[in-house]
Amino acid sequence: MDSEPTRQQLLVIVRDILADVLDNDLLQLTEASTAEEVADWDSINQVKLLIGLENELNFRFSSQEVEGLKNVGALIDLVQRKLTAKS
Amino acid sequence: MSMPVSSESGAEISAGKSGRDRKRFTALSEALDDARRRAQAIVLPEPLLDFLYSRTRCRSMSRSEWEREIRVATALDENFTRFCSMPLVKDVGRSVDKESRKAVVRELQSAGNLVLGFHGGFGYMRRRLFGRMFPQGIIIGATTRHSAADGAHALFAAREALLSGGAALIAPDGRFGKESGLISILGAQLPITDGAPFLAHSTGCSVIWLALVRIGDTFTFKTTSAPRREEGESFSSYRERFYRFYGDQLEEAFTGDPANLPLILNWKLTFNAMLAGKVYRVRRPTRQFK
Repeated sequence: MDSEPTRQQLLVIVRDILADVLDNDLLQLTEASTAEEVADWDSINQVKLLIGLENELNFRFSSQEVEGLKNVGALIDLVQRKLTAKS
Repeated sequence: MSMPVSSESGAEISAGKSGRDRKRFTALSEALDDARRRAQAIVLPEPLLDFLYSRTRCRSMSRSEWEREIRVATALDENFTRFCSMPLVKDVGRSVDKESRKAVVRELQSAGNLVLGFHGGFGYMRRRLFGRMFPQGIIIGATTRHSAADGAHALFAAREALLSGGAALIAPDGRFGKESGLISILGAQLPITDGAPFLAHSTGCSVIWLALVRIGDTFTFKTTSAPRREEGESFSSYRERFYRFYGDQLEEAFTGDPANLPLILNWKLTFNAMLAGKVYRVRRPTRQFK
């Protein structure tokens, strides 16, 4: 991707990676989504999601950065900050 | 918060909000003396003691000798857990023979190491000593900085440490997280999660069982190499080997030297449930994105 992805594009990326992790092609996600609302979204699958984002977008999260994320929107905020810092 | 003051015996005393004095031990000898004094008053279910004695490998010990040692160990663990002070941690650390301490540091500094323990065998003191020896290490626990209650963050921090050559301590017999199966420990069904094998499998790190072993009035460390992920090995295959090893270590602990067998609540409930034909499977949820 030449320019930084939009929030909507990032939501699609998060959804696709999580759908793959959870093996659920029908997964629906919004920025307000939380792990509580999604079947099988446990702590291990969340780490797999973070690893998937690192691999897809070519950066590394630090453990401090991923502490206390509230929902998908907070994750997208963080990803945007990482992409901006990288560019 | 009340300020601790020195008592005649040298232990710290601080007045709690309830008005009852709370004694914090500052020396291992005091914590041991107190444990020996209180041993007989420790409440342990008779059927549980009968069961464990029937399985002990210390057959040369009489039942009363064996039970006495378990009571002292349980009282000592309680002193460590509830009435611990930094001077006590330092004193226990000083009691550990230098060679075993050096060996542990050497082994754990060599590469990323996932260090396994359990909620027994002086687990609280083992955590504190690990924290002193490896200040940059990750300790996953109910009340630690990397809380098992925030499972995703704790796992991510541990993974980060392991990939950068650090060490992470975890006790997979804890009660946080989603149950993924049961393993049998002397016939008792222990619910397990996938966090520890996931860390070991996803990072390919070394895995070590670390025991803090009491020998009389001193302690030593004992390490045992645990299975490591083989090239191309599937998670399910590795998980099976991991938990077979872990179960073996737990069985060895529960059938071994009673001086190292403090019976903490979780394990009392686990074995009591088995004796009642049930499974103790109370779990606490972790939080992520909530």
